[in-house]
Amino acid sequence: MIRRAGLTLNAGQKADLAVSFQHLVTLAAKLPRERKLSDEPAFVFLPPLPSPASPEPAKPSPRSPAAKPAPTGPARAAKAKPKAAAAKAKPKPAAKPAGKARPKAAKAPARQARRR
Amino acid sequence: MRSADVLHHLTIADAAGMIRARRLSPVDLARALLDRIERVNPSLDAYLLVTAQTAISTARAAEKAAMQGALKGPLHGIPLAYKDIYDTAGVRTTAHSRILENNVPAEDAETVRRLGEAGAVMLGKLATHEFAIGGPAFDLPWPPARNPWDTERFTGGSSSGTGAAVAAGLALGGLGSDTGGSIRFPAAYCGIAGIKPTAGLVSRRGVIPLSPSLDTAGPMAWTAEDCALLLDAIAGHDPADPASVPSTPPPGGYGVAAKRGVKGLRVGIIRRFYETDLPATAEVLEQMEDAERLLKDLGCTVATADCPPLISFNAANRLIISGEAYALHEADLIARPEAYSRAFRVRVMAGGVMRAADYIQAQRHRRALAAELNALFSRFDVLVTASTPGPAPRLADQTLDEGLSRPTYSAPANVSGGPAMSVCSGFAPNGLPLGLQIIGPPFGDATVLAVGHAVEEASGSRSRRPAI
Repeated sequence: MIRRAGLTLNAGQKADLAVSFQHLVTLAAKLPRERKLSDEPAFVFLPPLPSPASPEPAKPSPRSPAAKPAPTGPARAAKAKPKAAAAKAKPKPAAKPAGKARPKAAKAPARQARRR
Repeated sequence: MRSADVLHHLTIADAAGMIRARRLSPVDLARALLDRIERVNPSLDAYLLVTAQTAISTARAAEKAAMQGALKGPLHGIPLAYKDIYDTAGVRTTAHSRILENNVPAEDAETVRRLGEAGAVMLGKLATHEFAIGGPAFDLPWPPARNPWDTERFTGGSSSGTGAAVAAGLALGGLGSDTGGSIRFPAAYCGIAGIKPTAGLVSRRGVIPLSPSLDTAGPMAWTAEDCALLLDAIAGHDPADPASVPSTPPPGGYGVAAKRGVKGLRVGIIRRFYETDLPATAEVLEQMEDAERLLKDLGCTVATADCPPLISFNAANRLIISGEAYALHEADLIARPEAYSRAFRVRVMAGGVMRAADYIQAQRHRRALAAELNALFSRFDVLVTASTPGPAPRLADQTLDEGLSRPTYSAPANVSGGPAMSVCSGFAPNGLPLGLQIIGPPFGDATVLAVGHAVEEASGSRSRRPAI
Protein backbone atom coordinates (compact mmCIF):
# COMPACT_ATOMS: atom_id res chain seq x y z
CA MET A 1 0.00 0.00 0.00
CA ILE A 2 2.82 2.39 0.87
CA ARG A 3 4.52 1.73 -2.46
CA ARG A 4 1.29 2.14 -4.37
CA ALA A 5 0.71 5.48 -2.63
CA GLY A 6 4.10 6.57 -3.92
CA LEU A 7 5.50 7.15 -0.47
CA THR A 8 9.15 6.54 0.27
CA LEU A 9 9.43 6.10 4.01
CA ASN A 10 12.18 5.09 6.38
CA ALA A 11 11.62 2.45 9.05
CA GLY A 12 10.53 4.95 11.70
CA GLN A 13 8.06 6.65 9.35
CA LYS A 14 6.64 3.25 8.38
CA ALA A 15 6.15 2.39 12.05
CA ASP A 16 4.34 5.70 12.64
CA LEU A 17 2.15 5.07 9.61
CA ALA A 18 1.28 1.61 10.87
CA VAL A 19 0.06 3.04 14.18
CA SER A 20 -2.09 5.77 12.62
CA PHE A 21 -3.39 3.42 9.91
CA GLN A 22 -4.60 1.03 12.60
CA HIS A 23 -6.50 3.92 14.21
CA LEU A 24 -8.17 4.71 10.87
CA VAL A 25 -9.12 1.05 10.37
CA THR A 26 -10.69 1.05 13.85
CA LEU A 27 -12.59 4.26 13.11
CA ALA A 28 -13.72 2.99 9.68
CA ALA A 29 -15.13 -0.12 11.37
CA LYS A 30 -17.52 2.17 13.27
CA LEU A 31 -19.17 3.37 10.06
CA PRO A 32 -22.48 1.80 9.08
CA ARG A 33 -22.21 -0.10 5.80
CA GLU A 34 -25.77 -1.19 5.20
CA ARG A 35 -27.12 1.90 3.52
CA LYS A 36 -29.55 1.44 0.66
CA LEU A 37 -28.28 1.81 -2.87
CA SER A 38 -30.76 4.61 -3.32
CA ASP A 39 -29.37 6.59 -0.37
CA GLU A 40 -28.15 9.83 -1.74
CA PRO A 41 -24.37 10.01 -1.66
CA ALA A 42 -22.97 12.88 0.34
CA PHE A 43 -21.17 14.35 -2.62
CA VAL A 44 -23.50 15.98 -5.03
CA PHE A 45 -21.92 17.84 -7.87
CA LEU A 46 -23.88 20.97 -8.55
CA PRO A 47 -23.39 22.36 -12.02
CA PRO A 48 -23.36 26.14 -12.22
CA LEU A 49 -26.89 27.50 -12.21
CA PRO A 50 -27.98 29.42 -15.28
CA SER A 51 -28.47 33.13 -14.79
CA PRO A 52 -32.12 33.86 -13.92
CA ALA A 53 -32.17 36.58 -16.58
CA SER A 54 -31.28 34.27 -19.45
CA PRO A 55 -32.45 30.66 -19.56
CA GLU A 56 -29.69 29.85 -22.04
CA PRO A 57 -26.33 28.92 -20.52
CA ALA A 58 -24.48 32.09 -21.44
CA LYS A 59 -22.38 33.77 -18.73
CA PRO A 60 -20.78 31.67 -16.03
CA SER A 61 -22.04 32.37 -12.53
CA PRO A 62 -19.58 33.39 -9.82
CA ARG A 63 -19.65 29.79 -8.58
CA SER A 64 -18.77 28.43 -11.99
CA PRO A 65 -15.28 26.98 -12.39
CA ALA A 66 -15.03 29.15 -15.50
CA ALA A 67 -15.24 32.22 -13.30
CA LYS A 68 -11.94 31.14 -11.73
CA PRO A 69 -12.44 32.20 -8.11
CA ALA A 70 -9.26 33.10 -6.29
CA PRO A 71 -7.61 29.89 -5.17
CA THR A 72 -7.10 29.45 -1.45
CA GLY A 73 -4.03 28.73 0.56
CA PRO A 74 -0.82 27.49 -0.90
CA ALA A 75 -2.36 27.04 -4.32
CA ARG A 76 -2.79 30.77 -4.76
CA ALA A 77 0.85 31.67 -4.85
CA ALA A 78 1.53 28.80 -7.18
CA LYS A 79 -1.12 29.96 -9.62
CA ALA A 80 -0.16 33.61 -9.50
CA LYS A 81 2.11 34.91 -12.20
CA PRO A 82 5.53 34.50 -10.63
CA LYS A 83 6.89 37.90 -11.66
CA ALA A 84 3.81 39.84 -10.61
CA ALA A 85 3.59 37.93 -7.37
CA ALA A 86 7.26 38.48 -6.64
CA ALA A 87 6.88 42.19 -7.23
CA LYS A 88 3.91 42.42 -4.86
CA ALA A 89 5.14 40.03 -2.28
CA LYS A 90 7.77 42.11 -0.56
CA PRO A 91 7.58 41.63 3.17
CA LYS A 92 6.49 44.67 5.09
CA PRO A 93 9.49 46.29 6.72
CA ALA A 94 7.70 46.29 10.05
CA ALA A 95 7.61 42.51 10.25
CA LYS A 96 10.02 41.11 12.73
CA PRO A 97 10.27 37.51 13.77
CA ALA A 98 9.35 36.54 17.30
CA GLY A 99 10.22 33.57 19.43
CA LYS A 100 13.41 31.64 19.90
CA ALA A 101 13.88 30.39 16.38
CA ARG A 102 14.57 33.20 13.98
CA PRO A 103 13.29 32.38 10.51
CA LYS A 104 15.18 33.24 7.37
CA ALA A 105 14.32 36.42 5.56
CA ALA A 106 11.09 36.15 3.64
CA LYS A 107 11.39 35.59 -0.05
CA ALA A 108 8.98 35.86 -2.93
CA PRO A 109 6.71 32.84 -3.39
CA ALA A 110 8.92 31.42 -6.13
CA ARG A 111 9.81 28.49 -3.88
CA GLN A 112 6.19 27.65 -3.52
CA ALA A 113 5.62 27.84 -7.24
CA ARG A 114 8.42 25.31 -7.67
CA ARG A 115 6.85 22.82 -5.36
CA ARG A 116 3.64 22.53 -7.33
CA MET B 1 -7.26 56.76 31.58
CA ARG B 2 -6.11 53.31 32.67
CA SER B 3 -2.46 52.67 33.24
CA ALA B 4 -0.47 50.97 30.49
CA ASP B 5 -0.04 48.00 32.81
CA VAL B 6 -3.63 46.90 32.35
CA LEU B 7 -4.45 48.09 28.84
CA HIS B 8 -3.54 44.65 27.53
CA HIS B 9 -6.34 43.13 29.64
CA LEU B 10 -9.11 45.30 28.20
CA THR B 11 -11.88 43.53 26.36
CA ILE B 12 -12.57 44.59 22.79
CA ALA B 13 -15.93 46.04 23.88
CA ASP B 14 -14.34 48.10 26.67
CA ALA B 15 -11.46 49.31 24.52
CA ALA B 16 -13.87 50.27 21.73
CA GLY B 17 -15.96 52.29 24.18
CA MET B 18 -12.90 54.10 25.50
CA ILE B 19 -11.59 54.85 22.01
CA ARG B 20 -15.00 56.15 20.98
CA ALA B 21 -15.10 58.37 24.08
CA ARG B 22 -11.53 59.55 23.31
CA ARG B 23 -10.36 58.22 26.65
CA LEU B 24 -7.95 55.76 25.04
CA SER B 25 -5.49 56.33 22.23
CA PRO B 26 -5.26 53.42 19.76
CA VAL B 27 -1.53 54.17 19.56
CA ASP B 28 -1.12 53.81 23.34
CA LEU B 29 -3.12 50.60 23.20
CA ALA B 30 -1.02 49.15 20.37
CA ARG B 31 2.20 50.16 22.16
CA ALA B 32 1.02 48.55 25.41
CA LEU B 33 0.30 45.31 23.58
CA LEU B 34 3.61 45.38 21.69
CA ASP B 35 5.51 45.97 24.96
CA ARG B 36 3.63 43.10 26.53
CA ILE B 37 4.45 40.84 23.57
CA GLU B 38 8.13 41.70 23.88
CA ARG B 39 8.12 40.87 27.58
CA VAL B 40 5.90 37.80 27.67
CA ASN B 41 6.07 36.11 24.27
CA PRO B 42 9.51 34.54 24.88
CA SER B 43 7.83 32.45 27.63
CA LEU B 44 4.78 31.55 25.54
CA ASP B 45 5.93 31.38 21.90
CA ALA B 46 2.46 32.49 20.86
CA TYR B 47 3.71 34.76 18.06
CA LEU B 48 5.66 33.56 15.05
CA LEU B 49 5.93 37.08 13.67
CA VAL B 50 5.27 40.54 15.12
CA THR B 51 4.37 43.35 12.71
CA ALA B 52 5.19 46.21 15.06
CA GLN B 53 5.74 49.09 12.66
CA THR B 54 2.66 48.30 10.60
CA ALA B 55 0.65 48.04 13.82
CA ILE B 56 1.78 51.46 15.01
CA SER B 57 1.07 53.12 11.65
CA THR B 58 -2.41 51.53 11.50
CA ALA B 59 -3.04 52.62 15.08
CA ARG B 60 -2.01 56.18 14.21
CA ALA B 61 -4.56 56.22 11.38
CA ALA B 62 -7.19 54.94 13.82
CA GLU B 63 -6.28 57.65 16.31
CA LYS B 64 -6.69 60.29 13.62
CA ALA B 65 -10.10 58.85 12.73
CA ALA B 66 -11.11 58.88 16.40
CA MET B 67 -10.12 62.53 16.78
CA GLN B 68 -12.11 63.40 13.65
CA GLY B 69 -15.13 61.44 14.85
CA ALA B 70 -14.74 59.16 11.85
CA LEU B 71 -14.45 55.75 13.52
CA LYS B 72 -15.75 52.93 11.35
CA GLY B 73 -17.04 50.81 14.21
CA PRO B 74 -16.07 48.95 17.37
CA LEU B 75 -12.99 47.29 15.85
CA HIS B 76 -11.38 50.52 14.69
CA GLY B 77 -8.03 50.73 16.48
CA ILE B 78 -8.38 47.31 18.17
CA PRO B 79 -5.16 45.20 18.20
CA LEU B 80 -5.71 41.68 16.85
CA ALA B 81 -3.53 38.82 15.67
CA TYR B 82 -4.13 35.94 13.28
CA LYS B 83 -3.35 32.24 13.27
CA ASP B 84 -0.56 31.75 10.77
CA ILE B 85 -2.76 29.96 8.24
CA TYR B 86 -4.49 33.24 7.33
CA ASP B 87 -2.93 34.84 4.27
CA THR B 88 -1.63 38.32 4.95
CA ALA B 89 -0.50 40.39 1.98
CA GLY B 90 3.25 40.94 2.06
CA VAL B 91 3.58 39.29 5.47
CA ARG B 92 5.03 35.80 5.79
CA THR B 93 2.39 33.09 6.30
CA THR B 94 3.93 29.73 7.20
CA ALA B 95 1.20 27.47 8.63
CA HIS B 96 3.93 26.84 11.25
CA SER B 97 5.58 24.58 8.68
CA ARG B 98 8.96 24.24 7.04
CA ILE B 99 7.03 23.60 3.82
CA LEU B 100 5.87 27.25 3.70
CA GLU B 101 8.76 28.76 5.66
CA ASN B 102 9.26 31.54 3.11
CA ASN B 103 5.71 31.89 1.83
CA VAL B 104 4.63 35.51 1.42
CA PRO B 105 1.06 35.82 0.11
CA ALA B 106 0.17 38.57 -2.32
CA GLU B 107 -3.32 39.09 -0.91
CA ASP B 108 -5.06 39.07 2.43
CA ALA B 109 -7.48 36.31 3.34
CA GLU B 110 -11.02 37.64 2.97
CA THR B 111 -11.48 37.68 6.76
CA VAL B 112 -8.22 39.59 7.28
CA ARG B 113 -9.28 42.02 4.57
CA ARG B 114 -12.63 42.59 6.27
CA LEU B 115 -11.00 43.18 9.66
CA GLY B 116 -8.56 45.61 8.04
CA GLU B 117 -11.51 47.37 6.44
CA ALA B 118 -13.07 47.65 9.91
CA GLY B 119 -9.92 49.41 11.12
CA ALA B 120 -8.43 46.58 13.19
CA VAL B 121 -4.70 46.79 13.98
CA MET B 122 -2.79 43.62 13.07
CA LEU B 123 -0.10 42.85 15.64
CA GLY B 124 1.28 39.76 13.94
CA LYS B 125 0.94 36.07 13.11
CA LEU B 126 0.30 33.37 15.65
CA ALA B 127 1.51 29.84 16.29
CA THR B 128 -0.60 26.90 15.14
CA HIS B 129 -0.18 23.18 14.93
CA GLU B 130 1.51 22.49 11.60
CA PHE B 131 -1.10 23.09 8.88
CA ALA B 132 -3.69 23.20 11.69
CA ILE B 133 -3.23 19.53 12.60
CA GLY B 134 0.34 18.41 13.30
CA GLY B 135 1.24 19.42 16.79
CA PRO B 136 2.34 20.35 19.34
CA ALA B 137 5.68 19.59 17.69
CA PHE B 138 9.27 20.30 18.68
CA ASP B 139 10.83 19.35 15.34
CA LEU B 140 9.70 22.47 13.44
CA PRO B 141 11.44 25.82 12.86
CA TRP B 142 9.36 27.35 15.69
CA PRO B 143 8.45 25.85 19.05
CA PRO B 144 4.81 25.20 20.03
CA ALA B 145 2.86 27.80 22.01
CA ARG B 146 2.57 27.36 25.77
CA ASN B 147 -0.39 27.83 28.06
CA PRO B 148 -0.23 31.14 29.99
CA TRP B 149 -2.00 29.60 33.02
CA ASP B 150 0.91 27.17 33.36
CA THR B 151 3.65 27.15 30.75
CA GLU B 152 4.21 23.42 31.24
CA ARG B 153 0.65 22.83 30.07
CA PHE B 154 -0.77 22.34 26.59
CA THR B 155 -2.65 25.23 24.98
CA GLY B 156 -4.90 22.93 23.00
CA GLY B 157 -4.85 23.22 19.25
CA SER B 158 -4.60 23.80 16.58
CA SER B 159 -5.28 27.53 17.14
CA SER B 160 -2.71 27.35 19.93
CA GLY B 161 -1.12 30.78 19.47
CA THR B 162 -4.47 32.57 19.36
CA GLY B 163 -5.56 30.87 22.58
CA ALA B 164 -2.32 31.71 24.38
CA ALA B 165 -2.05 35.28 23.05
CA VAL B 166 -5.60 36.29 23.95
CA ALA B 167 -5.45 34.73 27.42
CA ALA B 168 -2.11 36.37 28.21
CA GLY B 169 -3.10 39.81 26.95
CA LEU B 170 -0.86 39.72 23.87
CA ALA B 171 -3.85 40.56 21.63
CA LEU B 172 -7.41 41.59 22.40
CA GLY B 173 -8.74 39.04 19.95
CA GLY B 174 -7.81 37.00 16.95
CA LEU B 175 -8.71 34.45 14.34
CA GLY B 176 -8.53 30.69 14.61
CA SER B 177 -9.88 27.84 12.53
CA ASP B 178 -11.85 24.75 13.47
CA THR B 179 -11.97 21.47 11.53
CA GLY B 180 -12.34 19.05 14.44
CA GLY B 181 -12.28 21.42 17.44
CA SER B 182 -9.27 23.67 16.78
CA ILE B 183 -10.94 26.85 18.05
CA ARG B 184 -12.74 25.25 20.99
CA PHE B 185 -9.81 23.23 22.44
CA PRO B 186 -7.50 26.23 22.91
CA ALA B 187 -10.42 28.40 24.01
CA ALA B 188 -11.19 25.84 26.75
CA TYR B 189 -7.61 25.14 27.85
CA CYS B 190 -6.60 28.82 27.79
CA GLY B 191 -9.80 30.06 29.46
CA ILE B 192 -11.09 32.31 26.69
CA ALA B 193 -14.08 32.33 24.31
CA GLY B 194 -14.00 30.97 20.79
CA ILE B 195 -16.74 30.23 18.32
CA LYS B 196 -16.76 27.88 15.35
CA PRO B 197 -19.41 29.65 13.31
CA THR B 198 -21.94 27.87 11.13
CA ALA B 199 -20.18 26.34 8.12
CA GLY B 200 -20.40 28.83 5.27
CA LEU B 201 -21.05 31.89 7.44
CA VAL B 202 -17.42 33.08 7.35
CA SER B 203 -15.27 33.01 4.22
CA ARG B 204 -12.31 30.62 4.10
CA ARG B 205 -10.78 32.29 1.06
CA GLY B 206 -7.10 32.77 1.74
CA VAL B 207 -7.09 30.45 4.74
CA ILE B 208 -4.66 27.59 4.14
CA PRO B 209 -6.94 24.54 3.98
CA LEU B 210 -6.75 21.32 5.98
CA SER B 211 -9.97 19.52 5.14
CA PRO B 212 -12.11 21.69 2.88
CA SER B 213 -15.42 19.96 3.57
CA LEU B 214 -14.99 20.64 7.32
CA ASP B 215 -12.76 23.74 7.64
CA THR B 216 -14.36 26.71 9.39
CA ALA B 217 -12.80 30.10 10.15
CA GLY B 218 -13.81 31.89 13.32
CA PRO B 219 -13.00 34.40 16.07
CA MET B 220 -11.41 33.94 19.49
CA ALA B 221 -11.38 36.56 22.25
CA TRP B 222 -11.56 37.00 26.02
CA THR B 223 -15.37 37.14 26.01
CA ALA B 224 -18.31 35.87 23.97
CA GLU B 225 -19.34 39.48 23.37
CA ASP B 226 -15.93 40.22 21.83
CA CYS B 227 -16.28 37.13 19.60
CA ALA B 228 -19.63 38.52 18.50
CA LEU B 229 -18.07 41.89 17.59
CA LEU B 230 -15.43 40.09 15.52
CA LEU B 231 -18.08 37.93 13.88
CA ASP B 232 -19.97 41.08 12.87
CA ALA B 233 -16.94 42.10 10.82
CA ILE B 234 -16.06 38.76 9.22
CA ALA B 235 -19.43 37.07 8.61
CA GLY B 236 -21.07 37.43 5.25
CA HIS B 237 -21.23 35.88 1.84
CA ASP B 238 -18.07 35.59 -0.25
CA PRO B 239 -18.73 34.30 -3.77
CA ALA B 240 -15.08 33.34 -4.10
CA ASP B 241 -15.43 30.70 -1.35
CA PRO B 242 -17.55 27.91 -2.91
CA ALA B 243 -18.81 26.91 0.56
CA SER B 244 -19.87 30.44 1.52
CA VAL B 245 -23.58 30.87 2.08
CA PRO B 246 -25.64 34.08 1.88
CA SER B 247 -27.05 34.82 5.32
CA THR B 248 -28.76 37.58 7.23
CA PRO B 249 -27.15 38.82 10.45
CA PRO B 250 -29.39 39.24 13.51
CA PRO B 251 -31.00 42.69 13.99
CA GLY B 252 -28.33 45.07 15.25
CA GLY B 253 -25.62 42.49 14.57
CA TYR B 254 -24.10 39.65 16.60
CA GLY B 255 -22.66 42.07 19.18
CA VAL B 256 -26.13 43.26 20.10
CA ALA B 257 -27.65 39.78 19.89
CA ALA B 258 -25.06 38.39 22.30
CA LYS B 259 -26.50 40.56 25.06
CA ARG B 260 -30.18 39.85 24.45
CA GLY B 261 -30.60 37.46 27.40
CA VAL B 262 -31.43 33.79 27.57
CA LYS B 263 -34.59 33.64 29.69
CA GLY B 264 -36.98 31.04 28.33
CA LEU B 265 -34.42 29.28 26.15
CA ARG B 266 -34.67 25.48 25.98
CA VAL B 267 -31.29 23.95 26.75
CA GLY B 268 -30.48 20.29 26.08
CA ILE B 269 -27.55 18.84 28.01
CA ILE B 270 -25.69 16.08 26.22
CA ARG B 271 -24.59 14.13 29.28
CA ARG B 272 -23.60 10.94 27.51
CA PHE B 273 -20.51 12.56 25.95
CA TYR B 274 -18.83 13.35 29.28
CA GLU B 275 -20.51 10.76 31.52
CA THR B 276 -20.33 7.63 29.34
CA ASP B 277 -18.69 8.01 25.93
CA LEU B 278 -15.51 9.73 27.16
CA PRO B 279 -15.80 10.07 30.94
CA ALA B 280 -14.59 13.43 32.17
CA THR B 281 -12.62 14.21 35.32
CA ALA B 282 -14.37 14.95 38.61
CA GLU B 283 -13.82 18.70 38.24
CA VAL B 284 -15.50 18.72 34.82
CA LEU B 285 -18.46 16.70 36.11
CA GLU B 286 -18.83 19.24 38.90
CA GLN B 287 -18.48 22.10 36.42
CA MET B 288 -21.31 20.63 34.33
CA GLU B 289 -23.57 20.39 37.39
CA ASP B 290 -22.77 24.02 38.17
CA ALA B 291 -23.53 25.00 34.56
CA GLU B 292 -26.89 23.25 34.70
CA ARG B 293 -27.80 25.12 37.91
CA LEU B 294 -26.60 28.38 36.46
CA LEU B 295 -28.65 27.99 33.26
CA LYS B 296 -31.76 27.23 35.31
CA ASP B 297 -31.09 30.33 37.44
CA LEU B 298 -30.89 32.34 34.24
CA GLY B 299 -34.41 31.25 33.36
CA CYS B 300 -33.63 28.48 30.87
CA THR B 301 -35.46 25.17 30.85
CA VAL B 302 -32.93 22.36 31.00
CA ALA B 303 -33.39 18.71 30.00
CA THR B 304 -31.19 15.84 28.94
CA ALA B 305 -30.66 15.51 25.19
CA ASP B 306 -29.79 12.18 23.65
CA CYS B 307 -27.83 11.84 20.48
CA PRO B 308 -25.65 9.32 18.65
CA PRO B 309 -22.47 8.17 20.40
CA LEU B 310 -19.45 10.40 20.32
CA ILE B 311 -17.37 7.83 18.47
CA SER B 312 -19.75 7.95 15.46
CA PHE B 313 -19.12 11.67 15.02
CA ASN B 314 -15.41 11.23 15.55
CA ALA B 315 -15.13 8.38 13.05
CA ALA B 316 -16.75 10.47 10.32
CA ASN B 317 -14.77 13.59 11.25
CA ARG B 318 -11.34 11.91 11.45
CA LEU B 319 -11.70 9.80 8.31
CA ILE B 320 -12.78 12.80 6.28
CA ILE B 321 -9.91 14.90 7.63
CA SER B 322 -7.37 12.14 6.92
CA GLY B 323 -8.47 11.67 3.32
CA GLU B 324 -8.75 15.34 2.47
CA ALA B 325 -5.60 16.49 4.28
CA TYR B 326 -3.53 13.78 2.62
CA ALA B 327 -4.85 14.76 -0.81
CA LEU B 328 -3.80 18.38 -0.21
CA HIS B 329 -0.31 17.41 0.97
CA GLU B 330 0.28 14.36 -1.23
CA ALA B 331 2.91 15.93 -3.47
CA ASP B 332 5.07 17.13 -0.59
CA LEU B 333 4.55 13.99 1.52
CA ILE B 334 5.86 11.94 -1.40
CA ALA B 335 8.68 14.31 -2.32
CA ARG B 336 9.95 15.28 1.14
CA PRO B 337 8.13 13.63 4.03
CA GLU B 338 10.94 14.62 6.42
CA ALA B 339 10.10 18.31 5.91
CA TYR B 340 6.93 17.83 7.98
CA SER B 341 6.86 17.30 11.71
CA ARG B 342 6.51 13.75 12.93
CA ALA B 343 3.16 14.71 14.53
CA PHE B 344 1.84 15.87 11.15
CA ARG B 345 2.95 12.70 9.41
CA VAL B 346 1.37 10.50 12.08
CA ARG B 347 -1.93 12.34 11.84
CA VAL B 348 -2.14 12.72 8.06
CA MET B 349 -0.07 10.13 6.23
CA ALA B 350 -2.44 7.22 6.81
CA GLY B 351 -4.90 9.13 4.63
CA GLY B 352 -2.75 8.02 1.68
CA VAL B 353 -3.42 4.36 2.29
CA MET B 354 -7.03 4.44 3.49
CA ARG B 355 -9.73 3.03 1.23
CA ALA B 356 -11.74 5.41 -0.93
CA ALA B 357 -14.89 3.53 0.14
CA ASP B 358 -14.17 4.42 3.77
CA TYR B 359 -13.93 8.09 2.91
CA ILE B 360 -17.22 7.96 0.97
CA GLN B 361 -18.94 6.06 3.79
CA ALA B 362 -17.67 8.67 6.23
CA GLN B 363 -19.26 11.41 4.13
CA ARG B 364 -22.54 9.48 3.89
CA HIS B 365 -22.48 8.86 7.64
CA ARG B 366 -21.79 12.55 8.22
CA ARG B 367 -25.01 13.47 6.45
CA ALA B 368 -27.04 11.04 8.56
CA LEU B 369 -25.40 12.18 11.82
CA ALA B 370 -25.91 15.85 10.96
CA ALA B 371 -29.60 15.21 10.33
CA GLU B 372 -29.91 13.39 13.64
CA LEU B 373 -28.12 16.06 15.67
CA ASN B 374 -29.87 18.95 13.97
CA ALA B 375 -33.27 17.28 14.55
CA LEU B 376 -32.71 17.91 18.27
CA PHE B 377 -33.17 21.60 17.64
CA SER B 378 -36.91 21.11 17.24
CA ARG B 379 -36.91 20.47 21.02
CA PHE B 380 -33.97 22.61 22.11
CA ASP B 381 -32.64 26.05 21.23
CA VAL B 382 -29.09 25.05 22.13
CA LEU B 383 -27.23 21.96 23.28
CA VAL B 384 -24.65 22.13 26.04
CA THR B 385 -21.83 19.77 26.92
CA ALA B 386 -18.24 19.90 28.16
CA SER B 387 -15.54 21.34 25.91
CA THR B 388 -12.84 18.92 27.05
CA PRO B 389 -12.69 15.97 29.47
CA GLY B 390 -10.45 17.87 31.89
CA PRO B 391 -8.31 20.97 32.29
CA ALA B 392 -5.23 21.46 30.11
CA PRO B 393 -2.95 18.40 30.25
CA ARG B 394 0.82 18.63 30.47
CA LEU B 395 2.50 19.47 27.17
CA ALA B 396 4.93 16.60 27.70
CA ASP B 397 2.03 14.13 28.00
CA GLN B 398 0.67 14.79 24.52
CA THR B 399 0.80 11.77 22.24
CA LEU B 400 1.48 11.88 18.53
CA ASP B 401 -1.75 10.08 17.69
CA GLU B 402 -3.90 12.42 19.79
CA GLY B 403 -7.22 12.88 18.04
CA LEU B 404 -7.00 9.50 16.35
CA SER B 405 -6.69 7.39 19.48
CA ARG B 406 -9.65 8.81 21.42
CA PRO B 407 -12.76 10.81 20.61
CA THR B 408 -13.30 14.50 21.28
CA TYR B 409 -16.40 16.39 22.43
CA SER B 410 -15.92 18.89 19.61
CA ALA B 411 -16.37 16.68 16.52
CA PRO B 412 -20.21 16.59 16.56
CA ALA B 413 -20.53 20.27 15.64
CA ASN B 414 -17.96 19.90 12.87
CA VAL B 415 -19.97 17.03 11.47
CA SER B 416 -23.33 18.84 11.81
CA GLY B 417 -22.06 22.14 10.41
CA GLY B 418 -23.77 24.15 13.13
CA PRO B 419 -22.17 26.79 15.36
CA ALA B 420 -20.39 25.76 18.56
CA MET B 421 -18.45 27.78 21.05
CA SER B 422 -16.40 27.25 24.17
CA VAL B 423 -16.60 29.74 27.02
CA CYS B 424 -14.85 29.66 30.36
CA SER B 425 -17.39 28.72 33.01
CA GLY B 426 -15.10 28.07 35.93
CA PHE B 427 -11.76 26.81 37.19
CA ALA B 428 -10.38 23.51 38.43
CA PRO B 429 -8.97 23.36 41.98
CA ASN B 430 -5.46 23.69 40.50
CA GLY B 431 -6.45 27.05 38.97
CA LEU B 432 -6.71 25.89 35.37
CA PRO B 433 -9.74 27.06 33.37
CA LEU B 434 -12.62 24.80 32.33
CA GLY B 435 -14.64 25.26 29.15
CA LEU B 436 -18.34 24.86 28.55
CA GLN B 437 -19.39 24.00 25.00
CA ILE B 438 -22.58 25.45 23.51
CA ILE B 439 -23.85 24.00 20.22
CA GLY B 440 -26.56 25.57 18.07
CA PRO B 441 -28.53 24.80 14.95
CA PRO B 442 -27.07 25.98 11.64
CA PHE B 443 -27.23 29.81 11.58
CA GLY B 444 -28.11 29.85 15.28
CA ASP B 445 -24.82 31.64 15.98
CA ALA B 446 -26.50 34.59 17.72
CA THR B 447 -28.25 32.32 20.24
CA VAL B 448 -25.03 30.43 20.94
CA LEU B 449 -23.23 33.73 21.58
CA ALA B 450 -26.07 34.92 23.85
CA VAL B 451 -25.82 31.76 25.98
CA GLY B 452 -22.02 32.09 26.09
CA HIS B 453 -22.27 35.71 27.21
CA ALA B 454 -24.87 34.89 29.88
CA VAL B 455 -22.76 32.03 31.27
CA GLU B 456 -19.67 34.25 31.45
CA GLU B 457 -21.59 37.01 33.22
CA ALA B 458 -23.27 34.69 35.70
CA SER B 459 -20.18 32.59 36.48
CA GLY B 460 -17.93 35.61 36.99
CA SER B 461 -15.15 33.77 35.21
CA ARG B 462 -14.00 36.81 33.23
CA SER B 463 -12.50 38.61 36.22
CA ARG B 464 -9.63 36.13 36.56
CA ARG B 465 -6.52 36.30 34.35
CA PRO B 466 -3.41 34.13 34.19
CA ALA B 467 -0.65 35.48 36.41
CA ILE B 468 1.99 35.70 33.72
